[in-house]
Amino acid sequence: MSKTLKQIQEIAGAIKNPFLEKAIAQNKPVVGYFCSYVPEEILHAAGFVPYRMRAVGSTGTARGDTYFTAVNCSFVRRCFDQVLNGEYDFLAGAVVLNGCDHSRRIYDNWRDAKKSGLPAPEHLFMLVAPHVLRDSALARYEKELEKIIQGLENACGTKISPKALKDSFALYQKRQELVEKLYALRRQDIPAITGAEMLSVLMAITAVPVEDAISLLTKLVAEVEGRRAASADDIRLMLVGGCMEEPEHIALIEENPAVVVADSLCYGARMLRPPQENEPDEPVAALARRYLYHPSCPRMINDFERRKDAIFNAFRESGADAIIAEKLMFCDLWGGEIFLLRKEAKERGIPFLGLEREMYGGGEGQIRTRVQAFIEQVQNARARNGQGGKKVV
Amino acid sequence: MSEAAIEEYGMSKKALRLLKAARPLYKYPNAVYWLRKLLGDPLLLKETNWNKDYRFAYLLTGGTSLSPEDNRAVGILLEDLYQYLEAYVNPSGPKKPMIWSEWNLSNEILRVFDVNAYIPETLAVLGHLGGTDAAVKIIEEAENAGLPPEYCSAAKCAVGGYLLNESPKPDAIITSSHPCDSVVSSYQALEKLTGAPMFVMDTPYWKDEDSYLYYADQLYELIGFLEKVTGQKMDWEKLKQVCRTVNATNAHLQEISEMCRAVPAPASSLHLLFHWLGRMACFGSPAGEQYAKIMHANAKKRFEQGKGYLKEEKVRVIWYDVPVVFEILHPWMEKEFGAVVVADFIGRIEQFQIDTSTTESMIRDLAKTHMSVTMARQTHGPAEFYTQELKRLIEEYSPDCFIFVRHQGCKGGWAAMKLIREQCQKTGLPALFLNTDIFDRRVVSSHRIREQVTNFFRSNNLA
Amino acid sequence: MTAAILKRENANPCDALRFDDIDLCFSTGYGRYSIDFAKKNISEISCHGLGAFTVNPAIRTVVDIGGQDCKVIAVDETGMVSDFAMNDKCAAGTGRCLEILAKALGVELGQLGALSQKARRPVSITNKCSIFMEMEVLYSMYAGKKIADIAFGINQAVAKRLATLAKGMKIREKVAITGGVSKNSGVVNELEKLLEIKFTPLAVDPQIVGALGAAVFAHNELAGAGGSQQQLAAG
Repeated sequence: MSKTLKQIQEIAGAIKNPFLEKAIAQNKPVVGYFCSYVPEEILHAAGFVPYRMRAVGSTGTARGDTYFTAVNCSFVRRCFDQVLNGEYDFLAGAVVLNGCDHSRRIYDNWRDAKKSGLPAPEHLFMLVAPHVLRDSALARYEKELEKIIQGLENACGTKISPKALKDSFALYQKRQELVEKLYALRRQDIPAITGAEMLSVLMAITAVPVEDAISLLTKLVAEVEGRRAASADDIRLMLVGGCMEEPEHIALIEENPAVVVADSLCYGARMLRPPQENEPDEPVAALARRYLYHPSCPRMINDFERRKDAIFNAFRESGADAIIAEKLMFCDLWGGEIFLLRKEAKERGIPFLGLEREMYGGGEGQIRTRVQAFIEQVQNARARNGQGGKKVV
Repeated sequence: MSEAAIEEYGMSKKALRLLKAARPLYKYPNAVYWLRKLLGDPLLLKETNWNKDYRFAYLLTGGTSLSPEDNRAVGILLEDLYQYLEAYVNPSGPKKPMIWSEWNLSNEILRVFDVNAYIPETLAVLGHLGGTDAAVKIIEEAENAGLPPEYCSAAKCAVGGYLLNESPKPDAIITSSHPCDSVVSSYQALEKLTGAPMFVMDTPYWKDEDSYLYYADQLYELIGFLEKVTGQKMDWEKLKQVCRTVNATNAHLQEISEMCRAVPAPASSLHLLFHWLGRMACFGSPAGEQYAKIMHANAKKRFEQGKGYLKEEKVRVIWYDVPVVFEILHPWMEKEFGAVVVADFIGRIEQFQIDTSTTESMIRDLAKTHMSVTMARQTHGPAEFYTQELKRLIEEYSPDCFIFVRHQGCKGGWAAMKLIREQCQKTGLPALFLNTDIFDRRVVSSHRIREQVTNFFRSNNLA
Repeated sequence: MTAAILKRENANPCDALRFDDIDLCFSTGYGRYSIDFAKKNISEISCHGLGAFTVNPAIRTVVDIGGQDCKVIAVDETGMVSDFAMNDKCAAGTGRCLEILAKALGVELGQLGALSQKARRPVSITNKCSIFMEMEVLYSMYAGKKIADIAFGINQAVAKRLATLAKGMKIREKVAITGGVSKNSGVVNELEKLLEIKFTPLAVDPQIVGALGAAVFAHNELAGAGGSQQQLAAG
């Protein structure tokens, strides 16, 4: 295994990591954020280290469940449990988003926890993203971003300069270009990186300062180019879904003769944004446009057609054979999305498996059985259609 | 879609037959009152094969608790409900555009256009008119089609109803991003299933002037959308009239809500809940206003006489949650325990008056009323929208206890449960957290719900 | 946990098989990974599909209600899986659920089917969760309902759960039912009513169909791609 990949997997497997700790030791304040609608560039330009919140290392929900309940999402319960356990005591601030009915309550519950003397950062912000794509919504989102900028400036005591924003854009654009290179390597006939590894990469690069992320990615791209991470007979899968942060879950899928070559995940292709337009006079407006119009998730009510096209285009471009769509229990948004995507996949003759689980929730036996049966089914279909590859037997 | 032959609008037709039978009766509210008393108790307690077609209607319209004067108001509202159902079940005259509207979205603007309006979630309530198993069929249809079981059952009814040919085909859909993810998600499914163009109101998170203006701007866009899909032009004068009717209706209903602070309460939240049902048909209509006016007058008379709605009010309940619909508990609680729900989540009104002096002021205030409508006002933003209102209710309504429902669709509410619970704990008053679904009787049965309520009242010396 | 074992050529089926008699072993079921002498493991979905098809090549849908899960499997004209649905939420609709409820009712699991045939006024158990279903059973008992009527309700509830699963798929005739619960005539009858089908009985014990399928897969590997399921069935 590539040395850098091993390092990346270690970073992804824990909340803290050496790069983060170094930044903290250098008195660089860290600000946590939820969701891909929170512009990392703004946090970075304000002098913070943006850190995407996660539930990694969670061993339960006992404390999280003092606020949330059994019908709330396991990601939110576990992440908040980690918060209340003090695992995030290094944060100077956090930006919560109104992503869904579960995650938006983190803002409310965290403020309450703070009043009760429980672990909470000094600064807590709520960023509100619209649920639609329209000019009026874009204008609104831009105003919300300006509020956040104001809040961050108050928190750090300095104004965010246009130059600082521009520099941040450049860094994050560089990071994205490297990620896109890795995505291209996944699309190869023999992918150079597995789906499990890719998830580790995306988790790692959102847990370290962007400068370190660029360095890690640069090394990784060089190390994996030419690598053969799968076999020619493997079923090529596209993974679609919401919150997923367990590389071991994807590894379970890839235990079969299968490899994940494309995705539409929160920690995945939905992090990839359109290029930053060159609008030196209106950097926030340009940023708002980039972030609002990036590949959406089902919280955006009037964007299913564009989202669906993006998924099936990625499916086609990656030469995928089948789609596995996942949701966490009690996620209404992805439940409805899977309902629609299943119909679309059926119309296109694309094999489609829907999975439902709890984050870090076990149930491996059932998942293994379902995924294995699905892969066998796809193998048979391929053999029947003369597409080559092995039948089950 | 289910293979079994499903009569188009089967459930709505059943509801129409019931309404057709009830309409002439309600011309004689005293007779209705005595008839209810005669039928009374067996209907209260249990759904059986012989009563299931009538029981829900009986409970929904107040059981035996409504006075003859209140029955007169109900009769007026039932008339509008009848017309609403007739419009799509037995359409007559030139065909009008059919516009679906999400049930938490206020429909003043829609009322101005010459359209038929339909609320897809209608069947979540009216579906029970054929017995609670009828609503289960619609829900199961949605689940069998692949909709997630953990959706709010109202959303499942909306989709299941369409799949079962129970809903008229829409020419357009209007919806919003409130009150919850089930709506955000299910309306995307409905848009795709029906192929109808859809307009979405993006509800802001905050309650400030900026937010109201944002919503107001979207109302102009909504008008543009409706003009396009209907081929009609907005009639601003008519909108003014509708808004004035809404103002009068809300004023009456809000005063009823406020009068319930009195001990004894001169009204019950059931009166306000019934108007919520009526919103489907009569929001902004003269009948809706008339209903509110009569109920208000009746409540005011009792208030001025220092009389309660119940002969003997023993327990004052704050039901700060959605009501159980498949088993409407209010008449039973009133009769069994003398328990009146004096303030609740859905029925209670806290509204702005719409300034109709200019178009701009009217649209701006419409935005305010939309964001202040029941359920929207509590759910569209931070938990304070829940907890501060609950705090006020506690201070103003002299409660003896609280009831919450824990409907699985209300995930945003569940996620704030600790904060809500704390408000209750500060009072030292007992709180019941029912485990049930409000539309789907499969989750917890009626007898089990009544058992929970009975045990709660008894173990807290409230009965 | 099941293992597929090939018959030794010309062996007397009544003889006890020795380990050396096994030419090739494939495993299936939840314990399939722990059989270290299995060359390959195959999902029980594929194995149930092929196993039922091997017994009767006219089978196109298999309904399997096992101890831990329930599934509906569609197979093509070669016995290979073309689609499937499996419960993923909980034990409701599985043999485990029946065990819990039979215990609550105070009867043996094997009695539930026969008991339900005697129902006169069936009890309706509506809850979707096994735990709450158990409460409903207890409540019905305290309310003095007849055991047979409750047994009917239990079987019907399990059948409904599976029917919900099945309705998401296209059910093609002929339809077979496998797994231990297939021996519960109450569940089987209710399922036939709900799905509007008649199950085609299989000539083998429905509880070994998965193992049979794994054995056929192993046979096919030994025989090469040209191995014929029809020949195996006739043999």
